[in-house]
This record gives sequence, C-alpha cells and structure tokens, in this order.
Amino acid sequence: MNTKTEQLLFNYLEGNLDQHYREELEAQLQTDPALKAELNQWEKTYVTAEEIDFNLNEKLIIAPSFYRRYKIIVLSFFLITSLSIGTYFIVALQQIDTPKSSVETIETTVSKRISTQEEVKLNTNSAPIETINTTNKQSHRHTLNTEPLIKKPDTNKHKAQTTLPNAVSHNTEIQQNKLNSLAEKKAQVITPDTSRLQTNILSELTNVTTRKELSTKETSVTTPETIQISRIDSIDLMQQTELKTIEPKTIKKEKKHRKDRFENFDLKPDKNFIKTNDNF
Amino acid sequence: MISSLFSPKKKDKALLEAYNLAVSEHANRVCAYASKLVKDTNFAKDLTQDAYIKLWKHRKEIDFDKVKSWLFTTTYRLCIDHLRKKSIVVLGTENNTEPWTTPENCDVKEIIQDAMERLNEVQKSILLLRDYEGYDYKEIGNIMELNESQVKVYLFRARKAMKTYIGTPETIIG
Repeated sequence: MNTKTEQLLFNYLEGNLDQHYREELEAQLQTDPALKAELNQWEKTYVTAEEIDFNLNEKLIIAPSFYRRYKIIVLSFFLITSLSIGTYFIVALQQIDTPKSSVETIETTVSKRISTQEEVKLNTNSAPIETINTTNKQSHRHTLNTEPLIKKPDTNKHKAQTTLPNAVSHNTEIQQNKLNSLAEKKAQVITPDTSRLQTNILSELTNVTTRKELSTKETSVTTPETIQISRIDSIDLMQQTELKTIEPKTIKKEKKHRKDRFENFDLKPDKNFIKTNDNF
Repeated sequence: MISSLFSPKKKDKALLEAYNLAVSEHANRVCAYASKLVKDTNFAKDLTQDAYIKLWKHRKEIDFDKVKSWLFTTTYRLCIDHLRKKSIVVLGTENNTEPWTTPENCDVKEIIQDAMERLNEVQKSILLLRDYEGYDYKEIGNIMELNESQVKVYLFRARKAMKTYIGTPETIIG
C-alpha cells in the first residue's frame, strides 16, 4: 500500500474526509477486498479506554473543614475567650492600682486634717493676747526643732528673740556640749547590736519630740522656764534611751555622772553672763 | 467586613465544589492516561495526585470549564518530566526495530497495548488523548503545545506504527 491510500484510510477512520470522498471510498471498499483488509488493520490501531477505578476520589476530594462548617461558632468562641481574658486582666490591673490610690488619698486627707487642726488650735491660742502669740511661736520653734540640740544656735536668731533671755541660750550651749561629750563616750562602748538600738533610740526620740510638740501646742502660754524644763525632760529621755545600749558597768558610771551633772546644772541665769551681755 | 467574616465566601465554596467535581469526573481518566504513559500504576496515582494538588493551588487562576484539558496537560508534563528523569527510552515508530516477542497465544488486546507502549511519549499521548478522551486535534494541540497539523502527523505515524506491529504476528500466526 502506498502512503496516499494509507492517508486516505486514516482520514476516513478519523472522519476528516468530505462526504464526496467518503462515498467514493466506501464504494471502492465494497469492490476491493485488499483495501478492506487494510482498513481492518487500521481499525485495530484504535484503542478503547479501560474503565479502571484507581480509588482516587477518597484521597483527592476535599471535604469542607471544621472551621468552614462552624466558622461562626469558632469565631464567636475565640471572641468570647479573648474578651473574657481581656476583662480579667483589666480588672486585675485595677485591683492592683486601687490600694495605691487609696493610700495616697488617705495620706492627703490625714495631712489636710492635721493642718486644719493645727491652724484652728493656733488661731484659738493666738486670739487672746498678741504678745503671747509672738513668744509662743518662738518657743514653738525651740521645742519643735531638734536641730539646736546638735548644732550651735544662730546668733542672729538670738538677737531677734527679744523675749527670751540670753541665759537660756547660754545654758543650751552648755547642754549641747555635754551631750556631745556623752555621745562620744557612748560611741566607744556601744554593743554589736548598735544598729537596731540606734533605730530604737531614734524612734523614741521622734516620739518624744512629737509628744512635746503636742504638749506645746496644747499649752497656750510658754515661758522660757517651761522651755528649759521641756528641754531637760527631752534630754533625760534621750539619755534613758541611749543608756539601754550601754553595758551595765557603764550605766552605773553614767548614773553617777548624771547626778553630778544635775546637781551642778543651774537653771538660773548667770549674773556675770547677763552683765557681759548687757555690755554688748 | 463583619459580614464577610461571618458568612462563608461564595467564591471559595464554588471553587471547592468545582474542584471536587473535577476529581470525581476526571481523576480516573487522568490516572489511566498517566499509567499508560509511565507504565506504572502506583506512580501514575502519585502523578495524578500531584496534578490535583497543582489544581487546588491554582484554583483561583484556572478556568474550571477547561479543567479537563488543564489536568491532562499537567499530567502529561509531569509524566514527561518523570520519564526524562528516569531516562526511560520509549521506542517510537522510527526506532521500532525490536523483533516480535509476544507469545503465540497472546490476546489481540494485549498486542495492541504492547504496540502502544512501544510508541514514543508524544505519539502515545496523542493517541491516548484522541482515543481515550475523544479530543480533537486542536484540543490535543493545546494540551501538548502543538499545532493541528503536527498532531495529525504524529497521530498518523503512531497508528501506522501500531498497524505494522499488529499486522506482523497475525501474518505469522495466520
């Protein structure tokens, strides 16, 4: 068979021939058995599909996921959980913040109340006599401030305080010097638990000063004598507290020293000192 | 925005449905086509799965009206890549010089299968697409990136090779 007849048979089987050529070939096939055999061989080249199930549908088909099916439920669940967690943290933070604020408010209110009470007391005390008020304020300074016990008094202040006698300042100087000497001695004899005891001393001192403050506030009129007495009391308290830190042997010595000191301690103003001051 | 969150996207749902339809309609045919090309059913299954994975990945870009040809094109490319990697030599009509080795009592169907397997991958693919799937020359050309006349020539050569292969034993037996 030549290629032309092969192409003709191929095109006939493929359905590429026109109706005219097709009819012509069909007529020839009825008359030519060799051509019909050739056509049968060409027909065998056509393969038919085998219906084989490869079971791929189970593997390849994508079922809608849980999230896609229950999208609303999943989203609402996440929203609720996130909101609840958020609110919990907010509440927790607020609970942490509130104690601070309450303490601050309490502090401010207490300070305000104290200030108002002080103002009221001062006003009531200062109302009757103006002259007493001035002296009262000055004495108030003396009792409130603990600085004069440690530092030397300012000379300008003494000059300004005309109501206080110069003798008082002189005595305070003496007292300070003695206290300083005592402190130096005690510093040498302090036991190992000094730090704790020192804190106790300081606390007691502060208590004493506050008590004194209150007492001075309550007492409307204070004279130089009362100031002296209060100062001595405070010194005694200081010594008592400080003596707790000292060993028993040293306490006895201290008691003796105290007795001597109080015997020699003159509350009256020195005449010679007044004279010398008058000369100024 | 909120409505889009709470209501499922219609497009995605439609794509999912189209994909599943493509699986149910064409998976077996694609697998059969692949198994004929690579001569290994298990590997053909893997290649078919790869083709469907690609389909799912590019589902938003693919026109699902032409999904069948897309699947065959992808499968054909995957098969060609696999065959080139494995360097399997498939004999075409030009190289079909092997002597007839089929047993005397072999079935005609088996002979045809054997003859088809001796074709090169392009001829075999064209033949399969033409006979199995009923594609015309244009569609086969689109799948295999060939023009119509090329498809026609390849198909003629394939059938001629098969005819000669089938005709020889018959004359021997006959």
